[in-house]
Amino acid sequence: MKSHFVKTSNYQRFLEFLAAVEGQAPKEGRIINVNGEPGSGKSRTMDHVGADRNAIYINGMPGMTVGYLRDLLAYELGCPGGTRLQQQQAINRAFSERVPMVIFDEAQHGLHKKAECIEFLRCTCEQVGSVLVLVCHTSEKHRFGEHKLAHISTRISAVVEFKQANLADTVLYFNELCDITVDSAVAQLALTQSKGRYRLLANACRTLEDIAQSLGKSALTIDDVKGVLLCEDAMKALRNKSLSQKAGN
Amino acid sequence: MVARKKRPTRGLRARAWWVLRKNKTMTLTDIQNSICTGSEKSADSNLRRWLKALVNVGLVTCTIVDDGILNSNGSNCYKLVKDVGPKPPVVRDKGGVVFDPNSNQILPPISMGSLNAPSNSDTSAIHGGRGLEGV
Repeated sequence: MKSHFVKTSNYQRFLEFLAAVEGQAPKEGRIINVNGEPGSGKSRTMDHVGADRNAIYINGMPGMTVGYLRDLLAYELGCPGGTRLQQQQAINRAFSERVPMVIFDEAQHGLHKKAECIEFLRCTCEQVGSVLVLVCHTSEKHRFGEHKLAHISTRISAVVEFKQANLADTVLYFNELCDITVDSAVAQLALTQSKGRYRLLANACRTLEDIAQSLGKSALTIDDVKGVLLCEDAMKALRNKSLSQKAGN
Repeated sequence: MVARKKRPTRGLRARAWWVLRKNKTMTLTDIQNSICTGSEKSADSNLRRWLKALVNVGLVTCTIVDDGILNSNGSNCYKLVKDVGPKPPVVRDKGGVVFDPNSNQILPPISMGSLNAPSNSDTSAIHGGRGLEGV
């Protein structure tokens, strides 16, 4: 199995929104909200884009404060120390030189105290037109639209919902990473079993390669894998195992 | 219409440092799946050499984990134990010396300890004004 980033439909959609926000949105509205279910590729996409652009990554945590964020930004931009004013001035200078993208993961932790942490980041980004990406789970996205947070929600220019893989994504994934060729029916089977979760698709890819090796083939059709479990959620398998053990007792 | 300025591509090792700092623990496959585009030449051996040098100076530890692949000995899992800062450590081709551009110091190998670490003046002589971002 090959190892590289696959440009799925989620990634393409994110890039489209990013280009639109960078090119057309006013400086005060360059916020993108990225949300999605686990396994939809949020983290991997943020890794790819963030590493490529040398973004500033902030991992949200409960109880975080503006002071913590200021120290973190100063450290990441290579200008720690000094008074608060000096630190903020150094941050602003570094921002205007670099115009870095800021990725705020688990952004729901920045919502307490009327989202003062997000507001601080927004103000810092706004001065130079940096893009602020707020990443959260789907179940948290509604919190950014609350009435009391209108000062944030009105400035979110784009909401990108990451979805589980579709058939086109699955075919693309197998074409790019799998060492063997599979037809679309096999891809459909893998998609059904994995429920579109990319982590499980990687397992399916490895299983298909093992099957092809044992059959001495370089291409598989649906007849070769009929009734075969290509991938399984490890935790679900563990639960099923313990349930069957209980039933046996 | 004004043509948009093209962003320079960041080096493979610089991107690897970014994801390693973010995720703390990653296998080589995880790193490649996150940052590689498929067009890099021998990304696997390039990253392996770089990570090995980081292990030698104690920035990263390496353990073998089960990768679930048949007939495989497992894969190397790298854990960032010392985050020296946002700039990626540079591994010199000659002698595998690791330079930290965050502190502007050469990092000593963990087995040799700090006794063999060159002083600041030695450091400047070794990197001799060469570009520090050449990764």
